[in-house]
Amino acid sequence: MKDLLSLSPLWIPALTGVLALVLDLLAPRRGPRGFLGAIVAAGLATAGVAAALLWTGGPSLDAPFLRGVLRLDAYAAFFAVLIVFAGAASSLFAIHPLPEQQAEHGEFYVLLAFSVAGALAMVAATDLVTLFLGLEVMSLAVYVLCASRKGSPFATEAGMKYFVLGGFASAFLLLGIAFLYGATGSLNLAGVADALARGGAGGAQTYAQVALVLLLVAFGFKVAAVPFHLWTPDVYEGAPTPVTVFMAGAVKAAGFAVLGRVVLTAFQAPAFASLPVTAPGAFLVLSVVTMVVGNVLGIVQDNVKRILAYSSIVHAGYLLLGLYAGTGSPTALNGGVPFYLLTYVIATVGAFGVLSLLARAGVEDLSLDRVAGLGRRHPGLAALLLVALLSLAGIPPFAGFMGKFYLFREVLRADPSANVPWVVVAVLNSLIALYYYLRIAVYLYFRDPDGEPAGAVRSAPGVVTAGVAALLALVVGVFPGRFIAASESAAARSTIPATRVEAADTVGRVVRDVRPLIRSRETLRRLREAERRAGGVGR
Amino acid sequence: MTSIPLSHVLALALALFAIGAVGVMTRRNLLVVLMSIELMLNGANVAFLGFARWHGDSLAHAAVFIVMAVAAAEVSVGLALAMALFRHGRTVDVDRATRLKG
Repeated sequence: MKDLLSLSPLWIPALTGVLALVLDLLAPRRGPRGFLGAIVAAGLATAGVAAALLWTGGPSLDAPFLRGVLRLDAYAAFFAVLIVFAGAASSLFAIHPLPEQQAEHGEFYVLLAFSVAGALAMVAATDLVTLFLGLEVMSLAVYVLCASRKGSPFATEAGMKYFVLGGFASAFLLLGIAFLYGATGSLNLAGVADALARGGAGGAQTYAQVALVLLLVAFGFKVAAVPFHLWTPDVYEGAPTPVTVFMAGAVKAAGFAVLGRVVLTAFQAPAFASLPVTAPGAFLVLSVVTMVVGNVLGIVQDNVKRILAYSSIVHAGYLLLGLYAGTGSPTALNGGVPFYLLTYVIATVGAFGVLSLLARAGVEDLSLDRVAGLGRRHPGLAALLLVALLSLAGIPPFAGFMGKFYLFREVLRADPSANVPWVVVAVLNSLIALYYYLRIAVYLYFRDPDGEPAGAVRSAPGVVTAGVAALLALVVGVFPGRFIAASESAAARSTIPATRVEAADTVGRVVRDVRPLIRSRETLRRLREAERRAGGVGR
Repeated sequence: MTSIPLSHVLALALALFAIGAVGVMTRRNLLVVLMSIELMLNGANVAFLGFARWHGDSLAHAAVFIVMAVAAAEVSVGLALAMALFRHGRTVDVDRATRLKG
């Protein structure tokens, strides 16, 4: 019972999804489905509160559940809160008064809830197979969400592109996990860390090296780092904007949470410093390339959704710099990365959220020319968008400024002399990025629309959510203390302590039931032995 | 039973994976791309089983079953997307899906 309560942030979203599915069946066939969005948002908010409560008060927070497959510690709880925030916001933005535009099928909200459940399982996973499963549950739902606007060829195309590249990345992740297992003989992060710290099995160094490269490719796709970013602008543009809110917010946060945890836990051992590709080295290269290329491509765009897609790529670059500092230093991850993700998620939810309110009646053309003059037509929405843009750009007093300031300071603190040039590169890039954020702002307030201007819909839940995001951007920017403290406590738990894990303690038990299928005698013998050691349930 | 060395199993796994990866990158038909992704996943599965045998434990066998289930789910989503794409353009050629400039 206690375990069930402590796992509540994980099962509440899944249960919400099932509830929404049943209600969708019971409701009148052609009736509106907006109420499902409210229910899903409420369910996700409950999960967020549960995570926050466990985090601040629960004694059993760090207890590993389900035989060490899941662990809901401060790190997982922190990202869980970010993910449910983005998920709930996405569901509220999808409640649309125009019948042609709203997610007319209840499945939209159901899939969103399931996707959040997958993302939460992913950040709480301490077992690599569980991690893969969580990632797939999240991704498969998002592929469908991208293509959920059936009448729109753009949405279908976005879904297809995301699916192909997402599946490609999943395969890399899986092969990476296989090689990590080969290097260590364990699928549990604690066991992996333990085996790698002790040198691993014969040939382990080579296998671990291959695993690291494969994992970096896979997560490079998921968090949209250059050169694995090609899908991002197309998918962010073509998908229904509430889904873009979810992808840019929750999926990216989950990707970074897991990337940080896996790499910091497994590849921190000094034995890896001599390999050709080291974790910090790879993070540094990816980070610099991502920042520069993302910015250059962002400058030449003329669609607001695409500009923000490139902006989200650039933000991945800053975050990779934070991971570089974290893996390079013996102090492991500092609070910079979680806190930066917090500020990024708030601002990006606000920005894409306002855009979702501008899209009207089946047409989702959000080129600069059409958004122009929004400040005069819809001053409220324009102001909310402006706050989000300024926060993304890192202008005080908004959250993005504190996020950048704190992240760069932590990077410098990790290695005060060697990291100076990289921080300079990052700061220069934030200056370049100012150009396209301010360009949108100029169009919003000082240009006249060319062609039919983008309209706005009166959607109370959407406007309120955008307002909350803007308010949060201000609050986190002005009073960052508590949020930084929370990020630091999360970062302190970023690695999983290395412990020896017996095979029979985890997934091994499951295999007992399929034993007749296992042909290798050696395997059978080992299995029996492991079972005997673990207390003997052998038949 | 003469045992097959790990290197042979890994060579097979990597070959399957590479064929799949090349297929994803070069083939235009979405259905073939789907099959290539499956090939990549199965390459990873073979690697899992090879390592499981090498370590002499059964951990990865469970993982392979889970991956097979996931792969089935992925195919169903992929086929649904192929259907949706076909409805819009009467083709499943991914090179023709260029409404979004990318």
